[in-house]
Order: sequence, then structure tokens, then C-alpha cells
Amino acid sequence: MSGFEPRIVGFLCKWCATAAADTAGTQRLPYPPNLLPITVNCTGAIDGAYILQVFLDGADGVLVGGCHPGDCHYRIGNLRARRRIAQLLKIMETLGLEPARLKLCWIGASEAQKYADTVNQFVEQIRLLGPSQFKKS
Amino acid sequence: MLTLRIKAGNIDEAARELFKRILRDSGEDAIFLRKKGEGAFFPPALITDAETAGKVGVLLPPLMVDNAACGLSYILRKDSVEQSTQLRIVAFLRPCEARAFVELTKLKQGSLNSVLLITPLCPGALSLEEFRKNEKISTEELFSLDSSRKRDSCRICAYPIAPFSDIQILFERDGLVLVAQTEKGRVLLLSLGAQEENINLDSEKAKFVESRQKAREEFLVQMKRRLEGSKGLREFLADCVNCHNCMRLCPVCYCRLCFFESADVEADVNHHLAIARRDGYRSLDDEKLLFHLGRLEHMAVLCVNCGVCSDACPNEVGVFGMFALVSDSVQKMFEYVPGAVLNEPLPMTVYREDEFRHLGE
Repeated sequence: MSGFEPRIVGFLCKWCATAAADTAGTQRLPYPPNLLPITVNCTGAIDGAYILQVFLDGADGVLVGGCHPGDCHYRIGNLRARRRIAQLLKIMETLGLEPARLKLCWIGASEAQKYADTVNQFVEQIRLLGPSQFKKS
Repeated sequence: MLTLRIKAGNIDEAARELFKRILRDSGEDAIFLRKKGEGAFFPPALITDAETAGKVGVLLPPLMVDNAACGLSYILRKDSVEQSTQLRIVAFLRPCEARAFVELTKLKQGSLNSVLLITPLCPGALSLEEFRKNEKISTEELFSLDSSRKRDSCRICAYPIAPFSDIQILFERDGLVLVAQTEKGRVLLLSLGAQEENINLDSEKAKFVESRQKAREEFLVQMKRRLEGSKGLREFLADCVNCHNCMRLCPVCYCRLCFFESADVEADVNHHLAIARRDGYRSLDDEKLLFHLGRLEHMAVLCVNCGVCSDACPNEVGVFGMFALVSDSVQKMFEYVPGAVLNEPLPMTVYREDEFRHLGE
């Protein structure tokens, strides 16, 4: 897959993963520019349809970053998100739609290094998978 | 078990006798059931007059093009129902319709306070194609029908007997056997002169379920093969024209405004242009893929496998097959049987702290 640069969309919780991304930036931690971050108020606010739409529009991977269980600003939004993601992964698995392209990750507001590592690893994982099968060419 | 036997020349006559007796002798306000329509179909109706019910009521129509849970919900979903606790409606629903109605009740789009559910041990219905070939088919014939003539969803039905119902109906050569399942059901049957009898409902159930189980497994394997990957999905949905009929007739698609018909999914022309520039074209096929995948994501966990989505399709896309496959895996994961337990919450309204621990870490 030479020349393939994965395009990844990150749905990042405003209270944790987005803060971690900011901190990673100010600390000048290196991570690839393949991820387009979208800040959401809470991972619990993400409808599976948004993730599906992003895939259909050509994303090669989707990363959902939320607060660790117990740390949700809205108490249990992340646990609801976990249930939805589990369901969406099950659907993708059942239909052979490469569930490995969707990842849920808990990233605390202070975990800048974890954010950078997660993005690094996920980009590499998607690079190995190649372009999304939803792309036509 | 408290049992009522109604004997008459055949099943249809016994059913008409039952409708009449409920309205005449039991003090119920109305029955909700299917009636002979002006055309070939059997629309659901609310009937209050015993003679009318005896004339036009049908217990097991040979086809099923809509789910009567929608009609019952339509009648009951206004708030006034909760207030008029005296209202009593006896609803005759197929097992898949009863299960859908239980789900709608959980969603506050129906109420079981004023409704008593009676469900038959369901032989299934003819596929629309078969029905058009031969509209005249007796209810007795439905029980001995070759499964290849039935709708896919009936052929592979996992719940030909409703897991929740006040009264179950079993069939005999010359009539019906009603068995009370709840206290509410007992009260109604007592008012009609029922008696205690030894009936082994489980063995009846086993016979019915077993014959469909193998067909179900084969069907799911076949679907899994067809729906492999985005290519398989695109081919499966190739004839879909995105009319959303499947959604409109889906009994558990409960939103009054569908997300996929809302402004949320509409994008600026520049968005479409950007994709066209990138890929060479922007096919609106993706819109229908989003609709179907999104509906699977929203609804598969509640799907009662009634199969109405397939009958609703103008282009004969077997939408049901896709839902059967995905609902099977998703419902197993959540250990959820739609319509089985009234006070069991919908999976997407709850969570557990100790579940899916492998995700997020």
C-alpha cells in the first residue's frame, strides 16, 4: 500500500480526549496528521449513524475518544457510548464491514502521551488494513 | 390451566363464534382484530358490535402485509388512554405483532393497561407472490402449507408462539383451544365459561418451533454469505430506490420523524461535489446504504422479525433477510428478546458498568 495515507475521523469528547489532544499539541508530542478531530460534548451524544456516514463519505477509520468509566462529565454518557459502539462493532462484524476500522478509546484530559500513542497506533493499524472498502476506486 | 374450547365446523367459524362471545358475554368494550377488507387484504379494525365481529372478523388471514401493532399503537398512543383505566380492548394479534406491541408499550406508544392480548399459535402467512396466485385458501390449509410458499419471515419464525400474551390460542380440527397465560386472561376466559384442564403447552410449542429452526439456521447462513462486505451489501441493496417504505411499515421504527428524513442527513452541495471530485462520481447509492445501515443500527435490536419490510418493498429487496441476520447477532449479544418481558428495558436505554470491558482500554 505505498502512498496510502489513511484518513481518520476522531470523535473526541470535549472534556477529556479533546483536552488531551490540546495538551499533546502544546507539549509538541509527535503524532501523524491523519486524524481529523471532531469535538463532541460527550461520546454518549454520538449516534452510530454519524459514524456510518463518516465511513460512507470515505473515512478509512473512526476513533472515538471518551473519558474513562467513572469520569464522564455527564456521569454515564461514556458507558452508553460503549454499549452503542459494541452494537455497531457487532453489526460491522456480522456484515463483514471490517470492525477493526472503528476504535473506542478512553483518554483522560491529562493523558496527552496516551492520546499521541493511540493516534500513532491506530493510524498504523489502518495503514495495514489499506483503504476502506466503502471507497469505490 | 384454565382452558376454553370452542367447537364449530372449522377454525374460521369457531373464531367468529369467539369474537361474538367476547363482545356479548365478557363486558369488554371492543375487540381489535383483522377484518375482511374491500379488496384482498385484511386491515386491522376496532369492533364493538358482536354481530359485526361475527361477520367480518378474521383470526388468521392468509397473508400479512402490515403489522397490526402499528394500528393498535395508533389507536392507543394518545395520553387519554392512560387516564381512562376503565377502557378494555381485547386485541387479536399474531405473535410477531404482539411482540412489536409490547416493544411499543415500552416506548410509551401503546398501553397494555387497557389491552388484553390474545395470540394464536401462528402457522405463518403466504408470501405475497403465492397469495396473488391463489387468494382462496382456507385457514386449515395454512397449517399444512408447504413452507416454500410462505413468507421468508414465517418460514424461519423463531417465535410462532408469543413469549408474552394473556391468552394463547391453539388449534384443533374443528375449533379453538384458548389457554389463559395471565390473571387478566383468566378473568376473561372465566367470564366465557372456561374450565381447568391439563394442557401441555410446552410440547405444542416445541413441535412448532422445531420445524422452523433448521430453516432459520440455513437462511441465516445463506444471508451471511450474501451480505459479506460492502460489495455484498451494495449488491443486495442494488434495487432499493430509497423510498423508505420498509421504515414506514416497520412496527418498531418508532420515531415520528425519521432521522434519515431529517435535515441532519442533508449535506451542502459542496460536500457532494468534493466526493465527486475525489472518486470521479458521487453516487446517491451511498444515501440508501446509510439509510439501511443506520436503520440496522437503530432498530435491529428491537426487530421482531415480522418481515413486513420485505413485503413493503416495491422492488422486492429482501430487507427482512438483512434484518434477520443482524438482529439475530445483536439480540444475542444483549441477550434481549423483543416483546418477551414487559418490564425489561430497551437495550439502548440502559448500560452496565461491568460490560464490554475490552472496549476503550
